[in-house]
Amino acid sequence: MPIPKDTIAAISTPLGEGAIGIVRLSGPDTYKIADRIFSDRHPEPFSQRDSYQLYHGFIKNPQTAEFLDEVLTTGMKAPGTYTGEDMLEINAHGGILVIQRILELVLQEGARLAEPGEFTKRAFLNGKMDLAQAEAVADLIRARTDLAKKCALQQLEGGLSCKLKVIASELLDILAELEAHIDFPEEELPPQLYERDIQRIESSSRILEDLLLSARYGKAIREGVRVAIIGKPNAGKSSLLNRFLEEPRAIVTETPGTTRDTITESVSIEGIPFLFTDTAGIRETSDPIEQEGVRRTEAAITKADMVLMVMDSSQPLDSQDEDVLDTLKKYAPSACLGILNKSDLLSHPVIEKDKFQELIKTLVPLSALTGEGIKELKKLLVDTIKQGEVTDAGGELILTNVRHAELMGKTLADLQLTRESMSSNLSPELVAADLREALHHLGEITGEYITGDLLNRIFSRFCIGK
Amino acid sequence: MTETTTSQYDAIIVGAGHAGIEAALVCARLGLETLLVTGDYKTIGQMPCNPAIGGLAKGHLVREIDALGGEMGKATDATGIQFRMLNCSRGPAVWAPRAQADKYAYMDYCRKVLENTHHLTLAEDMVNGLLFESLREPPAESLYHHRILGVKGESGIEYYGKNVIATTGTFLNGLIHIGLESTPAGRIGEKPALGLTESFIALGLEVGRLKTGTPARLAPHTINWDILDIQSGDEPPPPFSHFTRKLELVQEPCHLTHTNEKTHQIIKNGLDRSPLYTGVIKGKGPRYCPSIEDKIVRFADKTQHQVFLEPEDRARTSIYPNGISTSLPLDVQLGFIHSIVGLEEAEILRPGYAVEYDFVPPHQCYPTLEIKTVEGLYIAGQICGTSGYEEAAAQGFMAGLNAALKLQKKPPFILDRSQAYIGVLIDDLVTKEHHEPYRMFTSMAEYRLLLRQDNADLRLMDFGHQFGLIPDDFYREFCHYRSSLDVEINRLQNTRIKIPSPHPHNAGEESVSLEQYLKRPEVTYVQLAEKDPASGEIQYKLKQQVSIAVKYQGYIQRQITQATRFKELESKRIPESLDYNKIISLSKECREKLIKIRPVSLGQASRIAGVSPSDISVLMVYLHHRV
Repeated sequence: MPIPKDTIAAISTPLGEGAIGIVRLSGPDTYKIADRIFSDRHPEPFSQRDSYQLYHGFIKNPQTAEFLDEVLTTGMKAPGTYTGEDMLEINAHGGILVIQRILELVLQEGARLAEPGEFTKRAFLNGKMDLAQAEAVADLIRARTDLAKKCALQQLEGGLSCKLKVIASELLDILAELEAHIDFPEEELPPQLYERDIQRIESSSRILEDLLLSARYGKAIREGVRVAIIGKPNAGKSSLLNRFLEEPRAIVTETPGTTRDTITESVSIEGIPFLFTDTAGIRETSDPIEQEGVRRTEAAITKADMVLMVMDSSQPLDSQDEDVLDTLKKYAPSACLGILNKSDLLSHPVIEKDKFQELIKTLVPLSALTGEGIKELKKLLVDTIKQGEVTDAGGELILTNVRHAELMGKTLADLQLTRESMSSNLSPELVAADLREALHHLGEITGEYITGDLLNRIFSRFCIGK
Repeated sequence: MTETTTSQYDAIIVGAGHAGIEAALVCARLGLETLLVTGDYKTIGQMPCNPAIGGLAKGHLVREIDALGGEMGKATDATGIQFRMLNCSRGPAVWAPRAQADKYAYMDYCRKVLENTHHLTLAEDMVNGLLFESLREPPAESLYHHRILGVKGESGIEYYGKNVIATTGTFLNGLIHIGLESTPAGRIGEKPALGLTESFIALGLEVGRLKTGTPARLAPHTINWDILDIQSGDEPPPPFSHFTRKLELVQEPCHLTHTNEKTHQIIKNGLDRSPLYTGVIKGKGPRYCPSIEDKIVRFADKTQHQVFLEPEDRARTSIYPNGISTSLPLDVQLGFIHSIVGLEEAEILRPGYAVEYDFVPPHQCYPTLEIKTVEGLYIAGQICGTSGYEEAAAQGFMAGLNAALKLQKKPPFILDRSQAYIGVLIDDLVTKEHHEPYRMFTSMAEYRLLLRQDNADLRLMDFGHQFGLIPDDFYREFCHYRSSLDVEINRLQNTRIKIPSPHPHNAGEESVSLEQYLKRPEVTYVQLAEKDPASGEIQYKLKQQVSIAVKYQGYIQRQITQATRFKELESKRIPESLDYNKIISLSKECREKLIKIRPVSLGQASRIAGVSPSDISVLMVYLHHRV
């Protein structure tokens, strides 16, 4: 059994942001390492100190005696920790560079760099959390914006489990009635009313549907929405991108694209990370390059969740526009917005909208130059992702896990079957078979065997027995 | 003075109730020299509670025992006085046969079958201790600490045997309560079994205490039958046994009456003298079989409860009032019974009572029902914490069969949860912890739609025949029936008929296969025969089975898929001697549970309360690396 014998370490705060960063260790050698690199006014080794106590001191490289940073550290003793192992958290203040050097020092002293999600994996293996919690934590690790963190935290605290438990309880009540009628045909039980049960199942289904619809939104929050900005040169792609980047706080990272000529910028709009890929910089002077431009546009479209086709609305469509439209037609992306740029130049755009309205349903007049229409575009982008399914992330539970979404989809299908069986007035054991399947899938989300207390429900609700 | 029987038996069965009878018969029929010891020769096969066999899930168990070659179904058919198929308005999966038996005829039948079985010896003695030896060197890879040697009786005789199957019912330190009076007894008027519990404790086993109860018995001639509703048997009476072709009998009716608010008031006034409500009774009683005082306290808003008046025998020498089990004092019993319509003048032949008894929690058993730490010692029936004649018979049969198989050095016979109610029953017993007497319900069977009473033979008769418990000629007949199922389904698929088109704009006829036609909810073989005379020739059992297969195909297929998934985890074995303390990633609670239950497979482990899916993944990884 690969019971973790080594000690792992990682930076557990997002890189690049904020002045404080945390280096976290977990495993049997945690305190040995801590004693070597951390010094303060307390003489006793870490293993003899109190758990969950903050100690103020310094990180020094024991081999070179080099001073790295002034820090606060907290030791947490097994098994009452997140991973179930000995843990240490070093809160450093010196910015990203210093934090990385502290991590290197820890690794030099015998720790191993944690794989993504390895803390959670250990917590899971040590029986510290159920499946839903573990998966929510895994999402937390990947969470890139505040909203995503909020979602993940909600699930972690059992928001999802709690909501599902309410549904499971309602379904179990219905099942208990069905079962009582099956197993005790000689008893004088209140009649089973399928019409009423159908209504109860419908309201449970609605809650599940809301959760499921949020799954799409959840994916966007976790992984970011890839938006390709396409269009002929000088249509205003770069200006549009710059408009998005205008608010400095919105900039999260800036990474060069896979080729020199595409740029991907990450921008957070209403908490959703949008990754804009600009195909700008394509030089279209000779035929071979032009082909290259088409190829890049194609690549950008196929990788994108959403496409923004930028056009100069002050001019009629030209052959370059037609080329881009042809490419677009070929791939027919599901979400495509047409940007009618340079709306400031003419009060009545001369561009022939009817030529592409089939292809592009939504058109946004905008001036990248003046910023007019940008606000509307941003709202449209967010709305497209939310699709009106989740109105507000505040307080609403958002499903950020693909497995959860899948199981919930199955549960909903089972409930649909259950309702149909009831509508066709099928015998209760058949209806129960459908309903049990729903409960089974619901239970898989939290990793619990939900039907365990079925008998309790039957006997507490019905007076049964000779 | 201690006397010793000269012979050493292959198997000794302690107790001749429903578990003991099946255990003794299966052992003897498999050729084991078998001794059945009963405390009272006159009460073999006694029905100490209601005189009925079957019902939901219980009827299924009896059909399964019968398909495997057990006796209970035949005994019921031979001695029943009323037969019904419950739940006929529902689907076939939850139909269940139930019969009122003549309890005296039933006892007579059982005793005669035992007496006429080769290799079986009967003895009347009250067993008061187990004989066993400690193993100085327990066999490797096993949990055995002791080996059973036999039993000793109060007569002073020691009986030696290689296997002992304890089926002691409610006799272990039995204590009967009527009001605040308590008397040591196994059943009313019968001595308790003392000393045996101490043997189990000496073997290092955990022992618990349970409670059950029974109503008063009434004198038939003092009941005003004329004003009561009648409940009659089905015509024709549906038999239990696969071997019974047709039942011919005059059926006896049951009658129905109800308690009323006056009844409830009398009971409430007597609660201060109830052993249940004054804390005299310590054992846990079953919630599904509450006493009338329990029903009135827990469901105070119900203004009446039904009472079935069931004859205990064809001669109607006494009446069992089903629904008013009680341990209230005799004067309160009389008072509330007289408040019930039709029972105003009823005389009590025997008071109702509660009985407390010791049981040996069955998580200490393998799925063969052998005690894990005591080689050769098996338990079955109420000693395992179950209730019901059928549950007891099923365990007795399986314990006896497995003792025989082990002696013959053959692999154990364990049914899983997708094969039989028997599998569900025993898996629940050895896997879960029980705090009340366990009764079988269909809701406990995950694969209920597969485990029907109508296909018990299709599920199990091959096994019964393989063990030599189903006669060859009968088995040949069964095999013919089984192959004709495929033939008939084939015929239905390949015979086309013309029916009026359901589409109004399409005035003509449309052609469908008989199978497609039969799938319609309103269509049965009656309608098939109207279109296709050959369908009218099909024999009843075949028609029934084929109809179910065709009509419920979707549901059945789904459960087969589920059962296949289930078997995957079931087939992952856990070595007996696995040291759970070495797996540090398991949670403390889980480790304790695993050490206590010692599951034989990952599937069984996953059903233990307190074992989480993450624990199962840890176990899975550990086992994978260990191999």
